[in-house]
Amino acid sequence: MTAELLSGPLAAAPPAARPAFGEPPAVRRLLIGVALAYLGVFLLLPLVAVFTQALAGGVGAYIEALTEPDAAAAMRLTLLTAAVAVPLNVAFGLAASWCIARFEFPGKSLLVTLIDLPFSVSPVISGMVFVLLFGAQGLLGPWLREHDVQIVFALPGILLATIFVTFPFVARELIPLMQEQGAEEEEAAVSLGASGWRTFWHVTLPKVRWGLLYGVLLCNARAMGEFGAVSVVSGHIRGETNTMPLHVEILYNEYNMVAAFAVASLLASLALVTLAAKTVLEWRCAGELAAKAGH
Amino acid sequence: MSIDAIAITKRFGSYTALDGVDLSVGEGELVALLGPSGSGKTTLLRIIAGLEYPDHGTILFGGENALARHPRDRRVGFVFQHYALFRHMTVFDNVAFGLKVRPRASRPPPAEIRARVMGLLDLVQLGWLADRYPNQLSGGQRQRVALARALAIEPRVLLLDEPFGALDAKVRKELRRWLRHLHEEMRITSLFVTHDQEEALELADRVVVMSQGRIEQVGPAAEVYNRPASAFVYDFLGDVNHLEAVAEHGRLHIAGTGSGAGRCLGRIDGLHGPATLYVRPHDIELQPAPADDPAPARVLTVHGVGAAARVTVRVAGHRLEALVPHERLEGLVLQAGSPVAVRIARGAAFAKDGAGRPLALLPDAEPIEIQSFARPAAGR
Repeated sequence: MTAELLSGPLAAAPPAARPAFGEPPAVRRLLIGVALAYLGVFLLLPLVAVFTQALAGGVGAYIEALTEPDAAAAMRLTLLTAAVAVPLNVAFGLAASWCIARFEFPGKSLLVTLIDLPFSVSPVISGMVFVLLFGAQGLLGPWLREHDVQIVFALPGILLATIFVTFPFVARELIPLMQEQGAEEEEAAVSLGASGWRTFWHVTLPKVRWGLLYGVLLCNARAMGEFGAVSVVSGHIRGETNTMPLHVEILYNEYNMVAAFAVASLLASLALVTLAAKTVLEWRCAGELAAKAGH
Repeated sequence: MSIDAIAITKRFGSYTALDGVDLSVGEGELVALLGPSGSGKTTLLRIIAGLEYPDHGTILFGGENALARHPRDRRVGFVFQHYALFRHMTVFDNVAFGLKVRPRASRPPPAEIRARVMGLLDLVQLGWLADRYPNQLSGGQRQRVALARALAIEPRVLLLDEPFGALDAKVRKELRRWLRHLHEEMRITSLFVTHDQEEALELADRVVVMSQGRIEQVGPAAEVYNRPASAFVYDFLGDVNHLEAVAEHGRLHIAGTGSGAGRCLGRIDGLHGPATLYVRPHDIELQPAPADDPAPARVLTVHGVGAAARVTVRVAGHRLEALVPHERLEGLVLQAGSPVAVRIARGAAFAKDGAGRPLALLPDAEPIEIQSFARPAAGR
């Protein structure tokens, strides 16, 4: 009887080295498989399609599509928009998170809610708001016409719309970070005689640099890739008020597939670079957080 | 530089952290603010540093109004419980920070900064760690760096907020001794906050006992320990036994039930009616029970480990803990259940008010056997 037990199923099963809270291997594999399939269909396949279509006409056609004057103008406009929107939003984000993390004031929760507003509003509405304010029939339309200032259907409108949709990124990244880090180091700096600016530059900024970089990355990706809001305010004037995403749309509507996908591949590359940088930062940040935990 | 806090009141919403607190710290003194959590001691320290502002009251540094100055101009060295070292700077840069951020006019040249910083690091015996980062140091080392950093600006006043609270017991003891030694050398007016009474009593020239936003007593360690001004101070410092008693015709009797109830503890003046007697464990003397005693006190437990034996006895329904030196223990036969006679060498009695709460009183008559505290505390 004992011999049977020892040679039966019990003998076959090795001592279980499974952690107490693990799923059985089959479930784990299933979940990972589903996640990979999801990623494959919604991420990899489109990316591969973009690059395949972009190079379908050969490298020569690819280069030509990118160096064409309207495309070049679109790239310049996109870069300019990002170069303006990102620094402004960094300044705003730092100021807002400093206020919110360090002070109590009436209207604080309202401010936090307002910062999240661009996320909950459709980008098209964000663009429409500026048309309603600054457009010819808008609230300030007559005044602007009098002073010969053009906001919508021109660069200022594009900048405003982009700033609006991207301003939460830096703030949302910094607020929880600053709240979690606390103000002790700043208090120490003040007690040692540092002015407000020096405290900010030497103590606060180094503390939040990785979170700040992360927010800048996200902000930049959105600023360059924004379509809806910019589409409403830009007027689609070829060579003047088209950013890269708008240019892709125009090319696509003209059935110029190779050119459309060529420009789109640039945006896709930007996405990949952003993703890579984000991963590196998270890895760096995790290192920092782990070091902090050793305090 | 002397510090004077006058009538400081601070409220956070509906919570009163400090209620009309007055404190004077003399030039070169080392004073401890001692009390449980919520007593207001850290709030008071932060107000003196300038990290908080009081709702009412004044702070004077050497007779000058300190509240009129921004914290960065007060030249106060502050040491935090969790060090607050600048995590992205080396130890050297941390200590040099206070000197480097001075306005150009008063900033020393780099060579002098270097000399001063290395001098301070040698003072705290950490010169060899100058190029390390804070997260590479142990807790004790970090706190010493924090102290060096605070001393770099040549502060007029040194404030420490539970400086050794985050360290383990052995390191705490070492740093305590070291801080005292440092203070004797440098003689900077220092104020530190602690909830550890051993630390306060060992380190400080004077101890300020605080509770619920008020100062209960101020005085040298010996005075605060041996002549507590209130029931709170008696309870907070050292171990204490409570005995319910009744004072009648100048004599104090144990209240309670069981063997020993009604026994006379000794003479007392100026007290009538129900009272609580506070007795330190080392003031309880145990003697062999007389053979003819019908209801002696009984021993409950004997714990012989340590400098003196801890013996718990039951008297009149009360459980008392006595500290018996080992030499005395030999002469007595003490086991659980053995009869014993209890004598109170010294104690403090506090009258109960109508609600049965002990009231704070001050010593009045010279003690013979029992001290009675008959006058209400006048906020000493």
